Amino acid sequence: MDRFLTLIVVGVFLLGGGVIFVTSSFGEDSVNVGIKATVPESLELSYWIRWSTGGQDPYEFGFSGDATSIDFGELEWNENLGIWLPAKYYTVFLIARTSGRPYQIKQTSTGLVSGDNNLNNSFIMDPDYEADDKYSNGVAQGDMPAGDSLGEAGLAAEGERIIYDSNSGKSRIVRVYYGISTGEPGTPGEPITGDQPAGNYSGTVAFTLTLK
Amino acid sequence: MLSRFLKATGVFLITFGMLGLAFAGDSVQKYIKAHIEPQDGLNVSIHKVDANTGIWGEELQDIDFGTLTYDPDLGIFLPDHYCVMDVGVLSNEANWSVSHTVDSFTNGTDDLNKNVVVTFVKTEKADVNNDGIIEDDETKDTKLYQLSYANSVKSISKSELSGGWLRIYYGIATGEVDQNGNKIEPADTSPVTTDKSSGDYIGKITITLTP
Repeated sequence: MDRFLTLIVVGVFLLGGGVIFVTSSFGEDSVNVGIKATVPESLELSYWIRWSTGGQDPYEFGFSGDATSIDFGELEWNENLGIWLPAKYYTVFLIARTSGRPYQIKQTSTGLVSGDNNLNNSFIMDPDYEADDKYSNGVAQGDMPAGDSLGEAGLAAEGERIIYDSNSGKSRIVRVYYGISTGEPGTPGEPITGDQPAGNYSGTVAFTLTLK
Repeated sequence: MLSRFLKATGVFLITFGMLGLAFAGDSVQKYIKAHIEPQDGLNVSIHKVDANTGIWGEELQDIDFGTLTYDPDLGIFLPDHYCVMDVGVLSNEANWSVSHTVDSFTNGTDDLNKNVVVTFVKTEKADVNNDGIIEDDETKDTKLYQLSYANSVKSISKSELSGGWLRIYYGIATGEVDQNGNKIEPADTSPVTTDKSSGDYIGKITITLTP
């Protein structure tokens, strides 16, 4: 280095791309340049909803679609089972963004209510994690991070329920299936029988993201 | 006696001088001299380029991506621009090389070393518009290397840049794939996801000219 001399600006060089090079450091043979970026701190829960017919994947072509609410529509009487059933079930996809901080996604629900009656013992939720779920860039999210876990299936309107518990703090796509109980052994809830009063039942489901 | 001697000497001196003049008219050689020191210098300029339009923007002092923005569809953080560094070499050496080394791009907790794509190209003036005129902004790039920031320690020789100059593109990885679903960015790069902690990430790039 000491054989190099620092010279005064001696010229302006016009190179391609409209770049003007002003020589300010003749004689230097090394240049340091900083590289910078800011990743903002965030705490956000995103979601989208898909409907699908019973037994079909939420993205099964011809048997599923986007939805803006969980609307089971008019239930149909199943002669064989002797219960009321909807034609659809719903999947709510949730993504938490916490800047790497451990978190929980929870849900509460007012239940499905019509006056003094409700379907709360039949309105069920079931959290799920699929390694193949992808962002729109087509990259699968992979296995659930170590230390993370899913909440248990149960009645949606039964207090505050944990959907996903993340110790890793990593952002992942989590599914929650919402449906009406079929009474299948080993599954939560009770089916809607012929004793259920007719009516329009409605309510809300609230999702909450909290840091641990 | 003395005057005769002086006269004789004067005749001799005059005769000698005439002979001397006759010799000098044949050839005279004189040297012309100058000394040129070895000269090695770098000119570096950095510009931001709009990621959507490709339009060049302001000149920057650093490779500064600013505050990244979260894209909820892609689930990744992206800047609104990428950066271009032009490296001009001023050297009278027969051979030289330009090396690129980096320090970790970190916020002290995480790093973005594998989230930045570094593309080395030879840029040269060319009649891109094919109108017989080469405008100042008419250039073409020939890709030399595309690497992750983490793996971007590279030396580029004078011969590799023959007829052009070194241009280096720095961009945050997008995870983009081609029509066949193959990754088009370096295999070891990935986008910035929410797995990265928030904060200000800073690193250092060193460009060195070696004669």
